[in-house]
Amino acid sequence: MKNDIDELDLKILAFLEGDLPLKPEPFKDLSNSLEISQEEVLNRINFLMQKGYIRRIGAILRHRKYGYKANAMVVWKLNEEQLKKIRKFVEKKREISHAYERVTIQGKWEYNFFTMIHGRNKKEPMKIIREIVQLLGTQEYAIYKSVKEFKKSSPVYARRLLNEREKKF
Amino acid sequence: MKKEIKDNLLKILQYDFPVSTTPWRDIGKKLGVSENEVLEMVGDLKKEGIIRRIGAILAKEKLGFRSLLVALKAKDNCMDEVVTYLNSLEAVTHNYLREGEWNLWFTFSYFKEEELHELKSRIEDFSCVEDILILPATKTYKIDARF
Repeated sequence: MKNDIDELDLKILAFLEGDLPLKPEPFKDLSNSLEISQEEVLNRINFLMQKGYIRRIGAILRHRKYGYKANAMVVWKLNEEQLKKIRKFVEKKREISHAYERVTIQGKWEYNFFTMIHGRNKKEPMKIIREIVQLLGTQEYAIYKSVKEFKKSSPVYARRLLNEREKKF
Repeated sequence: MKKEIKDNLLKILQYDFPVSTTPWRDIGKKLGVSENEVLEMVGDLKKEGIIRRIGAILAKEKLGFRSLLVALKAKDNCMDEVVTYLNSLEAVTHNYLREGEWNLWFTFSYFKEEELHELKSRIEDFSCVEDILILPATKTYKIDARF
């Protein structure tokens, strides 16, 4: 844990990991319970954004319900040169939400690049895959279609840290 | 709700959410509608299930968390128990059954090594789990689930 944030900040972060109340002044109850002004709550939120603790604030959608029904995890075996080429491609494609380089495990798992690709129909993700195949000239990829969603929940990192603190005292 | 207003509202909510004491009123000003209308529309989008929540996405690494993608080769005979165990953990936020040899894929975040040891040893106890892949990211290229 870094030292530039205190317990109040953590409580604000825990609040923001939840769902903002649909009230004219959604930060009012929080500011009352923390016994600080709404202005200070907002100042702290801006500080937490500046310092990079908050990546973004806003609506998180259920993309399936917003029309993006075809989703695929596609894994790739790429070399350095191909990784360089794909970086710009994933940046500009809205249909690719996540892209990571991950470790490989010899003899067990050879794919080092992971992409989550979304489309409004089954054809759209396939189109993106074909574009990548063409761009990189690779055939070494695998599509892992989801069969069933067992869990998709919002993370609660700040609350986990607060719970841990309480345990200590 | 008119499609044009709905799409604009969703754009503002995702890309340009005002951090102020009265965010709904401020959004209303941008759209040319009242605060109440914004509250009503956002309420409807939540009821329809399009909006999961409105809040922050935190930089978990900055808070001291590490995260992993884990894949299992799990046979049918104890899949239910494995899924029940994994879903009970706050540390697991995504858990999917996928086509292929590696069929169960989930994310796991932790801030103490013990949490990871605990996960591994619990998974080893399930007789139907034949193998496990632990795949930390070495480089993030993109995280942006905005539509």
